[in-house]
Amino acid sequence: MTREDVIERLRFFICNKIVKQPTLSLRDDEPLITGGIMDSMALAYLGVFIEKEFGVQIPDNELTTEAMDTLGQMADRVQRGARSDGGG
Amino acid sequence: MNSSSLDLTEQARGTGLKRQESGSTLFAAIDGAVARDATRLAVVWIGEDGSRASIQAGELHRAAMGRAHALRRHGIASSELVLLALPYSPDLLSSFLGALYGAAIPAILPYVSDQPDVAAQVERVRRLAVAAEARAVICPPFLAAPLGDALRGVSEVIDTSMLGSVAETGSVPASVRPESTALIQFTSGTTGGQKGVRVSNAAVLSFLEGLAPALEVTPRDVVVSWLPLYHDMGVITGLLLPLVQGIPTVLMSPTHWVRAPIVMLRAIHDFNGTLTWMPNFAFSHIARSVRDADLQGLDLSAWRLCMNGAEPVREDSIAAFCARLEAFGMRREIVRAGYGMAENVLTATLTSGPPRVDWVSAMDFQKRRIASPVPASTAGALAVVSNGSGLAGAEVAIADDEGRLLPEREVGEILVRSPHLFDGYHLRPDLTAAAMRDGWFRTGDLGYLAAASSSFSGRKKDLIIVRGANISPEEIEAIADRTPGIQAGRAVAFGVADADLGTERIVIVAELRQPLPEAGGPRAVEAALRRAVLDSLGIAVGTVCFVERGWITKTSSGKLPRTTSRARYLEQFGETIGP
Repeated sequence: MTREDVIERLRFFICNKIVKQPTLSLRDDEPLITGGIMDSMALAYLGVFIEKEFGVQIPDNELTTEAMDTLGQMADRVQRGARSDGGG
Repeated sequence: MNSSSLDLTEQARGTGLKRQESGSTLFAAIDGAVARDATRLAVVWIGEDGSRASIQAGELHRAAMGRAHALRRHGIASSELVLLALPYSPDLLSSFLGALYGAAIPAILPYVSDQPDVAAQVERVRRLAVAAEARAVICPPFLAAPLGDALRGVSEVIDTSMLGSVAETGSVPASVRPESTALIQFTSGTTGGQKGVRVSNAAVLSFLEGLAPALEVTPRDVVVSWLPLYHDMGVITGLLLPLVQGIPTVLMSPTHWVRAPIVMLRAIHDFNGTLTWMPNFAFSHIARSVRDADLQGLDLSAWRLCMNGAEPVREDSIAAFCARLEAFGMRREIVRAGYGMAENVLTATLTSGPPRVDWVSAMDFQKRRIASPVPASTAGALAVVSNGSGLAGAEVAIADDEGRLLPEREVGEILVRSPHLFDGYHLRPDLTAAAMRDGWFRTGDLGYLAAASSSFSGRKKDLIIVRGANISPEEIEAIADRTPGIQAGRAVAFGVADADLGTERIVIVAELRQPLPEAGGPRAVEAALRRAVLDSLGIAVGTVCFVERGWITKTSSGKLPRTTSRARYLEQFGETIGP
């Protein structure tokens, strides 16, 4: 799965399940948590989604504002996890 | 129906507000519990890193006495307001108790530890310190310099390193009287700004003395709580109830729990936790965001009461929560629904078992303000969750706009009367007078009585309740007004019940200035608005919706019609927000 595919699936989830504005356009480098678009509770929800959608488990202590503030950061983390699990 | 109406009228004609004179203070009650067994486990503190610190009752008591004496040495006198702007830590417990023991009036402020913006935190504390005329603010060392600058000439800023960590025994530096204010609970009002709810030592004790037998609290009970201590439910159930009752409390920070909700379930397993309190959204969060793998091996069978309160209770949230946890020993029968407010210390009504749903005719409800029972299968039937009957001596009645008490199943404003109502809003006798009528506290919530139970069914005032916290729509609208690109006076904010989140989501509907002067278009305006609300209130807006000019219709008085905008929004965009 390409980085773009991962970002697209994350974007769909965030716009539809968290913000509930399906037409919202989110840039890859846009701060989502420090930008007031989603909060840290949504991050825990996103962690479960990532595990189900991509088979990548991100430990709770990595689900932080600093590490997961943009779609780009999230996608990189998913791809790193997928590689280390031998999946992808 | 007539007889219930008469009963209520008789109640209203009664002697009015009767305050229980328990003749004691929180210090005396905690001191008594410590004297019975100073070495018992009082607090288990679960750190963000998973560390666990055990604090004995005597140890916490002596640390708090040390703080009480240190505050006196800093010149803090009886009945002076002390704001606590501290991270979630054992230091917060001893500072809070120290102020309480020393007869000052503590108020715990929201402290968002993962908020990187120090300036925004300082501004929030400054605004409150000025409005509340606080004598002092206690803060961590890193906030001392910026807060000191911001509060020069307003309040003294004391950082915790100046208070030392000397534990003391012996007597407290000042005597507290039962009728003196124990603490102030800040809460958002509808008209913006914070209201400080003053509750006395006697009121808190009267509530706890009623609550403990109602819940059949025994020395074997263990409280597990991640609730913020600046919230009435957190400080009363997570700290004061356990200390007065002499039972352990297992505490973890709200930010830790939000990130990893399993932490609370693990604590119930490890410490045989029996009692919990949470707002409704937490039931949804646990159901949704706990990982299957983390649940394996947990035994939750010691859990005997799981209270749902502080925001409207949803049956679907409870059902999802039970479905996730029943395989691990959690039983559906332990769930209770409650209704309360800081003005009554906390809970006013509580169910005696899992909350029941009352299905009523939506048509009668909206047109005639009557909750007529209908079968659940009726098209358009409205599900209203029962909140149970009066707890700890509290009574509930329903009144119409003129203050006349209404019979069962007629919808009106919920009134509460109890032996432990608040002393008034801090520095706002006008608001206190408006909130009281013949000894009853007017909640501003809508509901009805049926079969000796009360049901909350909505809000008379436009308050938004997100995760148990009151948010004033005026405050959000004022921020929108100041956001470049938004037409001044053309933004409305309201809450929309969100089934996924199990709480309300904040929706802002606004008209844009034409032509837009700023580069970046509507998307840039939205980003600025979201960031401004986050900086000012510490919360994320759910949905921002820009509409064409004239969409928001004003009444002749110029007031923004939130109710009509909300209805129009739901009708127009309802398909995107789920059930």
